[in-house]
Order: sequence, then C-alpha cells, then structure tokens
Amino acid sequence: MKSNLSRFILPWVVLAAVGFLLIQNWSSVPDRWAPTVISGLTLLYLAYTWNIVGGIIGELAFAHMVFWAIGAYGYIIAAKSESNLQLSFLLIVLLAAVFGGGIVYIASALGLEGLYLTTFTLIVFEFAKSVVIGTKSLGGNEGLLYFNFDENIARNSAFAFIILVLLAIGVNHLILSSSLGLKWLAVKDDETAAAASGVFGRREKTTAYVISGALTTFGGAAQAFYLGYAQPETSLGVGLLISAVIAVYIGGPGTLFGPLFGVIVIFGLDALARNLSSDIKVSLYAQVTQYSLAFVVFWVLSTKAFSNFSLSNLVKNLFRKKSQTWSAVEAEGNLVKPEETTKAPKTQASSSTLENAMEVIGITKNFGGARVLEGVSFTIKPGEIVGLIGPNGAGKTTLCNVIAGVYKPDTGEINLGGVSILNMSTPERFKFGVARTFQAARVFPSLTVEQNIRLTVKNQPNRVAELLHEFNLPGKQDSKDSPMFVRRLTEIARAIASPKKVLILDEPLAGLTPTQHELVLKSVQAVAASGTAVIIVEHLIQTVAKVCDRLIVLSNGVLIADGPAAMVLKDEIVVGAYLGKSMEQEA
Amino acid sequence: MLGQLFSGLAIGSIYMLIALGFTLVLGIGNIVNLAHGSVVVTGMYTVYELNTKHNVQIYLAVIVAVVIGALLALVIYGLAIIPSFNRTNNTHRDQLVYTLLIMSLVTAIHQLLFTGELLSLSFEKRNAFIFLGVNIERPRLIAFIVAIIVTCALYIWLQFTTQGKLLRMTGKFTASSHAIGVPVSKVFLLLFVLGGALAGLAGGLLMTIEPVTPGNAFTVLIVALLVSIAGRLSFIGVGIAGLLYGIIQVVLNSKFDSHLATSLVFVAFLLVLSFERVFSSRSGRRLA
Repeated sequence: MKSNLSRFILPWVVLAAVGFLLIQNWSSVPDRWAPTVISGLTLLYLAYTWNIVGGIIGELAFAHMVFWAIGAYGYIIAAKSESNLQLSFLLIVLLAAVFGGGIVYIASALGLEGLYLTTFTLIVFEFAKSVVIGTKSLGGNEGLLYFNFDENIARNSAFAFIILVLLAIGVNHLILSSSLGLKWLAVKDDETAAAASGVFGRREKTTAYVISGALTTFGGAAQAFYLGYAQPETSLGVGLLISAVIAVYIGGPGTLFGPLFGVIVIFGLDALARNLSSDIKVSLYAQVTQYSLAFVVFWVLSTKAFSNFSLSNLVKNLFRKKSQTWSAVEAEGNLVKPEETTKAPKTQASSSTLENAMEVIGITKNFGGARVLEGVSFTIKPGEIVGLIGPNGAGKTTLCNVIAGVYKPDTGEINLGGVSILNMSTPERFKFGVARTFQAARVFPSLTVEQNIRLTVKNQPNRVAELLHEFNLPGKQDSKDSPMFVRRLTEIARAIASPKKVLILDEPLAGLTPTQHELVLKSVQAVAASGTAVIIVEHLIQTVAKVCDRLIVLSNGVLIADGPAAMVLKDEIVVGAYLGKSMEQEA
Repeated sequence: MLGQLFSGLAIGSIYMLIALGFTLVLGIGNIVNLAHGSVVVTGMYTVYELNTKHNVQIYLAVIVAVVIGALLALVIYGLAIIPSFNRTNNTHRDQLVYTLLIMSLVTAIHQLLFTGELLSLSFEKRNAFIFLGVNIERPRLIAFIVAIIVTCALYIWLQFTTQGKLLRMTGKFTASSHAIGVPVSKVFLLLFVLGGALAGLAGGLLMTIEPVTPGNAFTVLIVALLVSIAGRLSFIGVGIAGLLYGIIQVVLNSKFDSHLATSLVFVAFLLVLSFERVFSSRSGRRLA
C-alpha cells in the first residue's frame, strides 16, 4: 500500500519540481525563442488533452478545436467586458462540458463508431467554424481583439502554458493510474467485451469528453491571452489538431509519455528552423523533413518486429527490470497442482429443492425473416453446470447473446432470482449477475492479465491476488502476449471476479490441448462450487459431458432435449439432429 | 434559377468524381485514404503549373493531372497502405495516421512550391454562351460532361464487365478470391490507383472553375467523406449525393450569406446521417 502511495505521489513531486525549474530558469531563454517555445507548449498541451479522448478511450475525434475556440473566444469576451474571470471560466468549462456530453450523446444515439464517428466530429467542427465565421458578434474572419499591453506577455504566457502542460500530464497520470484508466482502455480495446464486463461505454466516454474538453478550453484561453485575439484561423485551425493527433499516435496513444515524445518528433526540427531563420521556406523545409521523419518513425514502429514497441514503452522498459518470461508449457506445469488432480466432488447445490438461479421462458428471436430461436425455455439452479449443445447454426450463440443482452428477443422472458432482466443493458446485466465469455477469448490487450481482472473487482483489495493464485495466472504479463490458454482463464477470472449468479462460457475449450481442457474444466467446477450457475456452449460433447449436471440440446432454434448427459446423448432425436437424419427425411 | 441549377450540377459533378474515387477505395477495398484531398489539390496545381508557366493547353494539362494523380496514389499505396496491412488489428487507425501524415507532408510541399496564396487560371473564364436563356460558362459545361461520361463508363465497367465484377467480389470476399487465384494485392493496388486517377481528374477539372490554395486539401477531404458516407458507399447513392451537394450549396449560397449556407449544408448532412441510422435500425439487430 505504501509503495502504491509513493508511486502515486512521486510523479506529482517530479512534475512540480520540473515546473519550478522551468519557471526559475526562464530568464536564460533568449527572447526570440519565446514564440517557438510557446507554440511548442501549445501543441504539447493539446496533445495531452486530446490523448484523454483519442488515446486512452480511443475515439479518433476531430471536434477538439471547438473546445479550444470556446476557451479562446470565451476568454476574450470576458476580458473585454471586464467581467469576473473565475466566473467566466466556470461558464466556459460548463459550456465545454455540455458540448462534450452532447457529442457523445448524439454520436451514440446515431450509433456512430469508427470512421463514421470521425466524420461526424469533422462535420461538427466544420459546422462550428462556419457558425463562428458567420456570426457578426464574434467578429467573423477577423475574430475578436483584446490587446494586452503587458510587456511580460511572452513570459507570462509561457508560464501559463508550462503550468497547464504539467496539469494535463498530471490529469493523464491520474486517469491512467486509477480505475478510470482501466475502464477507458478496455472501451478502447473492445467495447462489446467491456460492456460484458460491466463497463457503461457511453457514460465513460461522456466523462472522458467532459474532462478532456474542459481542459482543452484552458489551452484556447491561454493562446488567446498570448496572441491578444481569438480568430477562426488560429482558434479553430485544424492544423494544430492534426499535429497533435499525429504526435499522440507516433509517441504511443493512451500512454503517459507518448504525447511528449510525439511532439518532440514532429515539432523539434521545425522549432529549430524557426529560430535559425525567419524565412518561411526554411520552416517549410523543416516541416517536410519532420513529417518524413515522423512517417519513418511510425513505419518502423508498426512493422511486425516492433508490434509491441512504442517510444514510451521503450523508455518504460529502460527503467523497469526485465519482465518475467513466460511460456505456455510453464503455465501448464504450474497449473497442475498435485492435490487437485483427483476429480473434484460434485457440488450439492444442484439439488432440486433450491430456487432457480435463472429462468428462460419461451424465447423467440427472428432476424428479418429467419427464425433463429423458437420458444426456448429452460431453468438452471445455483451451482449447476449445464452443457448447451447442438449442430452449427442451431442458435446457441444467439441464445447466449439474448441472455447477455446483446439482442432483444421478440417474445419471451428471462428472470434472474425472480426479477426480469430483459430491459437491462449488457453492463447492467453484468452488475446484476450475468457474466459471459466469448468464443475467441476477448481480453483487453492494452491491459496486463492482472489489470484485466482488476477491472471487474469492486472494493475487495485482495480479490485480484486471490484469483491470480486460484487460476495460477502470471499477473504482470501483457495479456496480448499471453498464450490462448492464459487468455481464456483470464477471461473467466475477469467474469467471476465479483459474485455472479450465472456464467455463460461460449466454447471455452476451442483451440486448447486435452491437458488444458482438464484445467479449464477444473476451474469451471470450482466456480460452480461457489454457487454460480454455469452454462457451457461446446462442440466437444464427450469432454464437457463429464462435468455437466445436465445437457440442453438446440436444433434449428428449438430446444429438443434437456436432461442428464447419459440420457440425452442416447436420445434418438438428438442423434438425428446431429447426423442430419431429419434432413434425409425431408429430402 | 436555371443558371444556379446548372452551376450546381457542374460543381456537383466534380464532387461526385472526388467522392467516387474515395468510395471505390473505401467501399470495395476497405481502405481509408485521408490524403485523397491532397491528390485532388495536386491535380489542381498540376493544371495551374502547366497552363500558366508552360502554356500547355488546358485540357491536355487535365489529362496530365490524371496521370499525376494515379502516380501519387501509387506512391501513397506503397508508403502508407502496404505497411498498414502488416498490422493485424486496427488497420483503419493505422491508415488514418499514415494518410494524415501524408496530407500534412503534401500540404507543406505545396506551400513550398506554390506559396500559400490563392491561385487561379487567367483562362477564358468569361467564355460563356447563352442557352435556353441561361448563361453557361464553357469550362463548367465541359467539366460536367466529362464527369458524367467518366462516371457512366466507370459504372458500366464495374457493373457489367467480368473484370469489374471480379473487382467488386474481391473486395467483398477477399479471402475466397485469394483462394481461387485472384491476385488480391494487385487488385487493391489497381483500385487505389484508379481512385487516384479520379482524384487527379476531379482536381484538374476543378482548377478550370475555382482557385486553389494548399489548404484546400482538407476542404476537399471533407467533401469526399460527407458525400461518400451520405451516399452509404454505394455507387449510385454517392453519385446522387455528390450532385445534390453541389446544387444545394450553390442554391443556398445565392439565398443566404455563404457561412450560413455552409452551416445549413452541414445540418442537412447530419439529418441524412440520422435518417439513415433510424432507417437501418428498423431491422433491429442491436439493442439500444
């Protein structure tokens, strides 16, 4: 705990020290350098505030110059009218928050993501720009002027930007070191899997936009303070944002030092050129060189050999001890604990006297004209393990998705402990007690194994360590480098980190070796023993039948059998469905 | 009114060409090229340079612009698109960054070569004749006719020839096309170069109507994005959206102040986007 605290406070101390040193030694910076230093700091600040939305939560959004303009115009208007600056800033931040929330709300209501979202934010930006230029009270193309006759304006602006940059780095650090960072990186990696782990995507995005937008307004205000005006050309110029976006991507999006390295790569040469010569051509040549250099850097970083490499990772690794090596073989070796090789005793919880954990009643689902599920009903008791089997296309995965809240059924009802869950969203269902895993294990590659599990743990400091021990997982390992087996177990551990009523496993054995099958099933039995009802969708019927209390068989969307494995597998209809007998009869 | 309609059709047909180039690459090849606007602007500068400094006949210069556009696309493909295929996930994100970098790079080069000022042709712009009581400028008429012919030819090629069908199928079923021996990477390269040639042509024609600055790359990119997405990446949809965009823009510009007109166009696109969303969610595949 103590080391955590010091790790948390140390960066703030370092930031404060750096700020103090920079401000103390400002007098040694030649006057003619000041404009370049300030434009570098401006870019750096925008890169850090954009990183919150573009890097950490991963939305390639282009509306940030609107926040910038809100700050710039807001500051000039406030300064001109000599109104209370604090109150004005409160208003500016409020406006930015409303705007940021609005963007997320509209984009999510329209269901925009990826390229569509990028286009949407571009439209919003262009729209705002034409509105600003067209509004007479905002001065049109000339903008608003408030000339400040302070002879130390450059120094004061530089100080303001230094403090702002340090603040932005601090906020990035705060986010990345808290549970917010885990959730946001999870949303960036895989929004569907994040929702299935109880993360409300829209809520998290709104928070990110509001924080990032509010911070961005200060940058616009500081720039307007320095320039003495707010103009569409500067306060709404997309060039600055494009540079910031490129800087963030080159340095490493969603990392603490990424934006800093990126800005050095894309701004350093240009800055040097501007100070060596006042000729615009020299600066342009420097820009061309710079962009080419940035291109090469990004190119090298994105080749396969460097797929796990980024500038900020490089620095991180320099200061970190070599991370532990890990191999699948080792993992398997560790997992077989001698005292557990005997078959785990069947849980007693499956006795019929207990109340049902979940009731699925008459679920029907059509996609267009195709009926995928037809009147499917079954119940499952706490601690029971049920195998859900059936030929390809029988509707197994659709049923899982209906239960997990990805699709809404056309008719039917799903009750959990007597409460209907049909009107709950996926994250709400997760919090209420329905967890699921995916066919191809979906862990969040930006997070380590330990962080993947921490994501779903609430107020139980030792729970993560317990789970890592129980599943014998390498906590510090980057999950994207882990073997399939480790990722699968990580996903299960993440799903059941907080107590769950129902756990749905979608083909948990696919792609694993027989030894690994045993280990996964052993973990599943342990989960069931704690009282969770488990549904396993699997094609390897003989393997899962050993641990299942019951088998449920789907065929063409209809439930055709429900009972103990030995009985179901001898059932003529089931055998017929698998071997295509019904099709022969139809022919 | 008829005159505005014609003006709008002329500029709209160029928007259509710009967006079709972008759509071919995105819709069939699933490749995002944010440097598309830079290719168009390069086409514009090509015509400007050849016509004003070397006295090349203007439509000969447009043909050169087509070649230059195709060559530039070839370079972008090699530099930016091939490396992005090497990454297993987030291909789009990588393409966005690569092509954004290229856009910045090309804009800086344009600024170096042609300064940041607004440049236009001294070309016989007033060379107009009266038809049906409408004052028709010859460059606009030529641009419109060329754009329509090229679009129709492209449509027929894609829709009705074996080559065109193969091209579309390669985009839709990439892995299976690869399996039956279609040289997939060459097909994508062809597609990208074709997109570049269309952008070069659009740029060349645009230069005969409007002036150019290096900053146009971004404006043109927005046109490409808006029209492609409003047209839902379908050939006919994009064609109609492009023409409509031109007409609406010209009509609104004559009725309102130009910035209000631009704002209204963006609002219209937002509405289109939301209508499409409502329409497509009727099938109810997602839970809100």
